[in-house]
Amino acid sequence: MTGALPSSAGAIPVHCITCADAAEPVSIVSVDAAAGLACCTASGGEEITVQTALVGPVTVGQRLLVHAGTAIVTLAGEAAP
Amino acid sequence: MKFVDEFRNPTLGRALAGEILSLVEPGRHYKLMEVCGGHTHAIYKYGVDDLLPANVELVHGPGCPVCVIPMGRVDDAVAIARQPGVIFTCFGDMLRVPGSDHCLLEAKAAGADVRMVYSPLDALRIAKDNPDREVVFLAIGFETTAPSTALTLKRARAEMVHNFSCLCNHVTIVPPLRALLESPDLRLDGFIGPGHVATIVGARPFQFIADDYAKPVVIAGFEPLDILAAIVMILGQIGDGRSEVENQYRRVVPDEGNLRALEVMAEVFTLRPHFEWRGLGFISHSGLRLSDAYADLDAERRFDVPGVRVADPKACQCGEVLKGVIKPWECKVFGSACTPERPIGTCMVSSEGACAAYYNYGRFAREREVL
Repeated sequence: MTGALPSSAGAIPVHCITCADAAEPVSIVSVDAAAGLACCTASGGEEITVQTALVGPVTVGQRLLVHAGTAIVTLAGEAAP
Repeated sequence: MKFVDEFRNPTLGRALAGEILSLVEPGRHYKLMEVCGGHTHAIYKYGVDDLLPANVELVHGPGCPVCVIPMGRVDDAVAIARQPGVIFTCFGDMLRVPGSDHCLLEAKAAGADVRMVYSPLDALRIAKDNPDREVVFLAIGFETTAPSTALTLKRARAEMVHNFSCLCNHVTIVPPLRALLESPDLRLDGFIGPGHVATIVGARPFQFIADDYAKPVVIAGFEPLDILAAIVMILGQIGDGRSEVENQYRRVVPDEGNLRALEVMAEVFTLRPHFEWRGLGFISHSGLRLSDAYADLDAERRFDVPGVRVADPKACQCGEVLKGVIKPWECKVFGSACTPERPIGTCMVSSEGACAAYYNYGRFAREREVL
């Protein structure tokens, strides 16, 4: 499944992604637990691949705050519309 | 969108602005520093400062990692990018940061294979797709970005990707804050703390600001109501004579930070004795390099780099802007010789830079009604 995960290159960041504090909320669409990766949709609908090792086990529908392609925290609440 | 719309509510924003007005003492001037560039960007994007009384001044801090990269480090990046067989990858804003002779975008135009990526994971993917090339990732950022680089280097090691390396420019936020607090030409009354850095490091690293310097710190989110609420909390502390670290951004920031991220950073990185910050000079133990265990993935050890310190252009006053000593529009080249299209200084390059935020949102200069 790893190979099928999309690159994050299609993402359009709201802020400069290099900034220490630019991070984007995303919703998990699919999980590759063995690879520590999740396919997620960002607020603009684009799909990105995210490293999930810093937030522990994740499930489809969870929301994550992502910085530079890595989830740094899980967000409370249901998936974003 | 949930967790966004409710933090942009104009009615609540006006109510918070009223609360701020009720908390300030007429005749007293308050200087509050927003540490990170994300806050600077949000303040001008949403016009937060227009809701503040004139005696509450927001001072823009050093929390834009693009803005604090010195020219010598850009020269090192360009030197590696020009080497035959190298694919050099970096975040978009780093492409246009001026070096002493060229920026990475100019190196690309001259034939170097420089590619923009959105994450270190994308850079690793390029390395796997090009096993006969050396792929270098230019890592920049504070504690929010460093774990992503660290995880990717661990992944490169685990997947035995031998043609991948990292030119590490990661920095830490506490040492420059301490340097600013020791600066005699800057008097601050409180800090809007960096929300997403705190997601990683937690609230405790900021405690010295309250304990040693008796200044309030409020860790804040990035929506306009977050910033206004943080200002209310800081002014409340000042009014009560308190100096504490408070967490306005509890919906995201756990007080203890992200322990997994701190562990992976400790494994992959080690502190440099000194690191040069644009405008701030050398600050002890403020920069990260790869630990000896990851030396084989360190581009500084894999390639020859000049490693020369280069003085900033004389016309540019990024240093004073980064220290909050002057406003961007007070720099003599702001908006004339230095624009986002043709930046002289790093603060005009990144959208999170104070100069770019002022320029893009038309804040060339303004006067507010004095309370």
